[in-house]
Amino acid sequence: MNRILRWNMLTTSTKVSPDANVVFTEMENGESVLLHLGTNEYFSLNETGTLIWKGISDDRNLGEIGKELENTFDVTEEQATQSVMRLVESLLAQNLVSVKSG
Amino acid sequence: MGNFIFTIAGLALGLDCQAPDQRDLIRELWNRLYVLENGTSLSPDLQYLFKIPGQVIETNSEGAEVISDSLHLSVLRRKFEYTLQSGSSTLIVDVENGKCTGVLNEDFWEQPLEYQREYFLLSFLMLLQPKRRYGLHANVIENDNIGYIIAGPAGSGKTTLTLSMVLSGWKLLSDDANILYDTPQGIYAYALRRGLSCTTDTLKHFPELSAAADESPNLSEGKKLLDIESLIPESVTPRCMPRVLLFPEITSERTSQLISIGDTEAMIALIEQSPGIMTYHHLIVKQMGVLNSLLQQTHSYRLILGSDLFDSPETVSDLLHSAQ
Repeated sequence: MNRILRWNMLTTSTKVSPDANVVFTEMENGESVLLHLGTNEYFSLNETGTLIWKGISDDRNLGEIGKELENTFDVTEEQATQSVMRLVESLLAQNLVSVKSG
Repeated sequence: MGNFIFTIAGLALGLDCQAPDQRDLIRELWNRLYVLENGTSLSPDLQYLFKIPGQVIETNSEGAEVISDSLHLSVLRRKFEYTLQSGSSTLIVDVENGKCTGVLNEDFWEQPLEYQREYFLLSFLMLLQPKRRYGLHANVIENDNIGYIIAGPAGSGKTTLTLSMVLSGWKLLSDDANILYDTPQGIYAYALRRGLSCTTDTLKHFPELSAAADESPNLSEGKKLLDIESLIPESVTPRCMPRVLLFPEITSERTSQLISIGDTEAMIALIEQSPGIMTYHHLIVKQMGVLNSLLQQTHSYRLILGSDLFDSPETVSDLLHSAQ
């Protein structure tokens, strides 16, 4: 069953895709930097954010990414899902990703 | 006319001009402003061709993107070609094939030296990027074969620190524009700009240079181009391997100090200083990869600069040595 969180209709089966103008660079320390070539803005992601971004880039849905977060960081399903949704909402707000249709 | 060959960051650069007098003028200007060595090559990696002044160069601006547009320089991009327009002078940079074709008219030579320098510098950076050589907006100095990159916004103390260390026996690669080259042995920094650009405000801290500064050419209003190599023998070096990354900040503290920072903070600070004019996605990906590799071979610090930089620069020199 899909779980719907918040008013913006992100669900665990939602997929988002990185904007074509975004350059992702992963650092040795597990963090990463996103550079949006269109706006010249840059953002840093911690280890959790980096794992989420890589899941997005691998075309996984938000539920699958949450599951990986759960396994990697030993957090509950609820915590993992909330982390994923919060970050994806921020990425959408900054036009770094967009929701895939279908 | 025939090609004149330079070497830039390990690549052969050909200069051909249809007007003989102009080739000598450009050669002299390039030797004055950039760290280029004489070279020999039958097939240069990069090639400039300048047509007779006054000739019209056909440009196709349909669908071109405006990258930059200031009073003295406009930059358009169309596919893999840039058009640099400065007054009535045009330079078309074919990034894919490593070629520049241009016309330099009389108004180009009447511009301030700083604008002339920027015009060619941009074209060099554009041509070098597909050759795995990336521009870095920073000063680079060297001591005991250890390279130190000094990066930061205008007014952060880069030039003051650089000049202080060079006067203390360190060597200068370049100020403001260096080239990073990714090799199997690591990332090397190559000098690009020759001389040290100093504002008259910065030079006030170095009264021992006042006579030399007075005789130095003006880059623009309030800025001089110091010929460091002539002033201080053996004070320059063409390349080094960077091991320390410094982000300075001038403060009113008495004593300078180093504060170690992590790779992510350093990367963000570097991005802020990287040339923003290149917007080809696949090249930027590679450039970011080079910056990432650079961070793996360097230690990064915020450098809080105090008055000891002026009162006892040897103290600051010792502090920088401890950063290795």
